[in-house]
Amino acid sequence: MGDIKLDRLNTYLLSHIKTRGEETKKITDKGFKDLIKEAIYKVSNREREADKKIIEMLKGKASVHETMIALQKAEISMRILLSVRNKLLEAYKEIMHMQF
Amino acid sequence: MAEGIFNRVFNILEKMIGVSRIRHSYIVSNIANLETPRYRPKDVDFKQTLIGILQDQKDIDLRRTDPVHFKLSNSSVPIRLSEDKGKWNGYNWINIDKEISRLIENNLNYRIYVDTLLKKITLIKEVIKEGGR
Amino acid sequence: MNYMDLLKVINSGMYAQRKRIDLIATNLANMETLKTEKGMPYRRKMMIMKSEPMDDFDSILSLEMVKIDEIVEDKTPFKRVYQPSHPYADKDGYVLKPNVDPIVEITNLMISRTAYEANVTAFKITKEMILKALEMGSK
Repeated sequence: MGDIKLDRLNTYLLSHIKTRGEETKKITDKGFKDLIKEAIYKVSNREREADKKIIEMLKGKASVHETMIALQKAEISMRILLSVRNKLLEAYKEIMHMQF
Repeated sequence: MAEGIFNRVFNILEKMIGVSRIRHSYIVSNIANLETPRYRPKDVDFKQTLIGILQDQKDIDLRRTDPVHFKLSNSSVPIRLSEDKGKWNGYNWINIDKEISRLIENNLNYRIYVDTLLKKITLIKEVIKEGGR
Repeated sequence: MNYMDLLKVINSGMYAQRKRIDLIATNLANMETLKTEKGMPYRRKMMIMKSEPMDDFDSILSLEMVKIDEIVEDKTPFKRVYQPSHPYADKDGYVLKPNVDPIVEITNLMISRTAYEANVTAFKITKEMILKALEMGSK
């Protein structure tokens, strides 16, 4: 998939918000919902993986570095999600302030 | 969504950390058995293992011994064992100087991998922070 | 594979070496013991160690502890020293003495001590590695 660039994601999202029209709205809704759902799902997945690793480490089956890496991945995913959420909120506010 | 962030280099570093951990456990076993009669030292062939990981080898190389597969964070790491059988010293095949120097060398490698990975993680987090501006 | 198992292995190494040093000390202490309860001079004791895998299933992958297999008596014949005046001397004037050679014992002592220290080093390095791994969670 390549490295995610938040700018690209932002542009993609914003361009969808700014375009008007029924069909576009339908597509946007679908694209958005799935995108966000997917993101949340993946983040909670990573959290679950991290928790699993912690239990394994306590049981003596996983090593410390594996657990640390899992925790870091969970944190990074969460931060990305939060960043995207913040951007979405910003975009939403911007639109709300637009004069039509 | 964030899969792309944890790219090839990240995964390679993660695997190499695992490899050096396994190598450490072999060396620790060797050291505990310094005086065990007829004991043969075990070691990881670091170079070959690294090559295997870089090529993302999934097939077993028939020219050499089968790589030993370890379960490591949901992916298998092909470890290649060292062919070095050690020198007979009268009661076993271990040499204490060799083992100690392997111990230190492996520890150094381990630290390098961990520090590098840590740097990458810090970098990723910075990018996320700054990207939100 | 985790740090607890590693420490167990290192511990087994230290323990075995320490017991071996005890044995060497016993040998040295009894270098001149001419009569034990059995009526014979003290016989040198040796320690035989063996390795033991931690997991039962796959010995290629697992850690190997060291265990004391058994302590045996050295079958080397006793020393015969010519001391006709000695109360224990036989009809030819020879006294049987323990088959303990102090040079051999001291040499083994140094080897065991070095092996013990190697295990200590392994312990220190292991500790460093664990702390380093923890560092990865902190930034």
